[in-house]
Amino acid sequence: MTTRGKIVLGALLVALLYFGINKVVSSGLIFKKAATESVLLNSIELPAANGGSRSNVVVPLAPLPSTTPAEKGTPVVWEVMAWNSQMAGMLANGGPRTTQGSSMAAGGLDMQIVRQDDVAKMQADLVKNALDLQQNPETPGLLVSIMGDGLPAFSAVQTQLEKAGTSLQIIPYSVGKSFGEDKLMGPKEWLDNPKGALGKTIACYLRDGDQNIALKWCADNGLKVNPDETTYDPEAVNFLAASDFLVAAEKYIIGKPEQRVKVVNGKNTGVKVDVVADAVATWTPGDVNIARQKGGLVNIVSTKDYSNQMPNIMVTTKRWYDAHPKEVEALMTAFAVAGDQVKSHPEALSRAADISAQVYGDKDKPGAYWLRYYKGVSEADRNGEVVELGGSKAFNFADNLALFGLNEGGTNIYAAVYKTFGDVQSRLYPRELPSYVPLTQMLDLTPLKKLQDKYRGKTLAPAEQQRFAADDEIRQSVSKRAWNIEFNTGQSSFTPAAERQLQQLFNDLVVAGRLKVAVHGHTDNVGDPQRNQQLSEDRALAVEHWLEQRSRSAFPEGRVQVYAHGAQEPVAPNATPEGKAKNRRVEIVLGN
Amino acid sequence: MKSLFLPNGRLPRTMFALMAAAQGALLLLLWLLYPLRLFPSLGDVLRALADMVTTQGLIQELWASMTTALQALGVATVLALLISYLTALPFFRPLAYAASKMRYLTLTGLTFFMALMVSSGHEVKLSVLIFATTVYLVTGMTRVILTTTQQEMDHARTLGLGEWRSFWEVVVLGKLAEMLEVVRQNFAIIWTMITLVETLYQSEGGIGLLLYKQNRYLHLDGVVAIQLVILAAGAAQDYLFSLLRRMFFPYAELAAVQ
Repeated sequence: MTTRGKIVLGALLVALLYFGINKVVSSGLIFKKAATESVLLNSIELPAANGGSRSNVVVPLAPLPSTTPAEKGTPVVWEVMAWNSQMAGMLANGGPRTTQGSSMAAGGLDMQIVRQDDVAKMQADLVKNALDLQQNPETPGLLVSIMGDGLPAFSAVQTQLEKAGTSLQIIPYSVGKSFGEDKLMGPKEWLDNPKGALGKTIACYLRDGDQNIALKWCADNGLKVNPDETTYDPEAVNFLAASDFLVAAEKYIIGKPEQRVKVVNGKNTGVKVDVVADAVATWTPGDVNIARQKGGLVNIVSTKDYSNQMPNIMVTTKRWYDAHPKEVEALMTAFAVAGDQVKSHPEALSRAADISAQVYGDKDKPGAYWLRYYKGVSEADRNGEVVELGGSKAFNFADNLALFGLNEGGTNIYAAVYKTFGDVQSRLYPRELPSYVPLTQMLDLTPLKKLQDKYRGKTLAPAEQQRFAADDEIRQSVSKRAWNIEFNTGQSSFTPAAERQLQQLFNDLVVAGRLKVAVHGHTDNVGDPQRNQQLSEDRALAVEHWLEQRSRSAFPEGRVQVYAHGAQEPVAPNATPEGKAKNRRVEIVLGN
Repeated sequence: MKSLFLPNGRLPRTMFALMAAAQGALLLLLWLLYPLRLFPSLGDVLRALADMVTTQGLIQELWASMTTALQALGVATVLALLISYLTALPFFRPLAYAASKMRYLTLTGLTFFMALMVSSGHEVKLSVLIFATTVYLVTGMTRVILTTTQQEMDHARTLGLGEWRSFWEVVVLGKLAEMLEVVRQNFAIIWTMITLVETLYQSEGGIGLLLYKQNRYLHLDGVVAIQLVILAAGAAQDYLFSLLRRMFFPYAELAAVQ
């Protein structure tokens, strides 16, 4: 055979192989990935505001910790992301390593705070720590801080920990929370018309806290979401996956299209479309980068509105936790003491910010930077639009009692947050997160109750409260959604199905702790208009009473407002029974 | 038997194949019988593999990644051949030198500039792969060209060929077989890069994205399964390359040690 013949033959062979495999692969003869349907999330339920004593206790300023390492005490390591919610923890420690005169040293602990932004690495470190502790119980324990709503996904590490003979355990004390810095940024028109987000794409780090904000906003506004990051559904909100929250912001800033397959009603159309990031779910400094480098997006909703979504939750291994009850209590006490300081004294807060800068180690971000974005600022972006950036809160002891529901008539807010987002993630991503660890297996409130008893009768600095002015109308709505809470015809009493709906609504409103709630009652056109007006008011009031009875702390005076519309605003013709049922409804508007 | 442990020992082919198969089987047996505590067991890995093939489209994803890889390899090969053959002209030598030194660049931060230069996510993926592969290929190919001896060139000149023609016969055609070998050796670079770029641009899926998701949820059995699939794909490719080489350049092996 000549060389030329060989070349022709070889080329033929290669071409045949390529097209053959291509045909087989795309024909669906071999297993195909199932096309994913877009999902309308039922509701994303989050607990609300804090109760607590109303007395104003001011904690006197304690001496600030020194900068000299204490170098004695039980060694522990605390891995943190660069997250401002940790201010109280920073002050408690006095430096990257526990210093003399700090509340951590007073508790007999020697803590090393280490920055770790990579969640997978945190998980691996926990498993390694579990193994090391088994070998040598004197090994310093490892604590890891993560976002409260991200814990269900994080709990995937449980299988590995079980192989190492232990499991995940939560420290029942939170040092603070995100309060504005995690957000969904989008085009301004989404504020007035959330439906404008359908067929659009949000860039974010998938299956994490930032995405949860976007998911909750979609659910509250009744928008379908497409969970598959490789397809595009024009009738749902799509997501553009980024490898972290800063890359998510970068996707919008660069604005390059990515190609996907179009899916309609869960059917693959085979058409390829280009998508770009129209909006971003991210956190500080992702929002700062967007505002400074490109602009054009405003805050649609943030953890200021969903104020209970993202407490800073610390986890460790049960192995260490069970062997160190004294240290756990000392740790919580140290945080509680520092929490009061940070909350009431600017000099303590600014010291905490300086320690943060040391721990996070970004040379271009001094303490002043962290302080500024802890408080949250409004800046003009490149296009002159004003955007709010940053925002966190430190917790004190009373805040923790409220978070874990140990205050008077309290709801365990964190339990609601955990379950809510666990369910959402596992519904959207059944392949990746088929199940998650139930909170009860990881959370033991005994140490917190013990401390509570210890301080009973002593004056504690109060928890922060949401104050709602009763006569204040909602000026800017965040979401609006009709709930078909069924009433017995002609009455304002609930059917059993309605009770279930109400439970969902309750949880939903608990997360959105800072938002006011407007309950709008509507009826069908059966009966006389005046009676209907009265009936719609009674129904809206019934919902209000139900909520307030469930949790006084979550629904303080003035948070819920009632509006009655009678039969004047039908959403469907009253000609059919179905239409009538649609019109007998309660609409919930959240806003501030 | 004795020749198994002799320096430069030579075995009949069947014997060698048997021995290699036995070694592989032994490894699998060890894995099956002595599972490590945190390393997934063989059963788990096989289950994860079956699950990913049947429900998560592992084969399609592998093919998607493979076509991207081949696309990048094609472009990179042409580019690298061009750059390295041009080193015959002194003017272009600094270019090849610079290209081969770019192996030391890390991609962090570079992807941002690449994204600014090209127009879509797919192109960023390709350009990252092409860049990474080209710099390695240029390094290997310039080495190959440097092996050209004075004797070979003089041989061509004595046959009365001009400077260009000698270069064409001796360097371009004469070294093609070795160039193919360079390409084969450096194809692996693409596979290490592809998982990285597929996490940068996740819209098109790919085996890298699948791996990333498995890892994110610590489905370690899935991670190991995908790694094994990539390993198998790599081995198959290597084999295919040597097949092509034997087909197109049957005499290239003559100089090799038998």
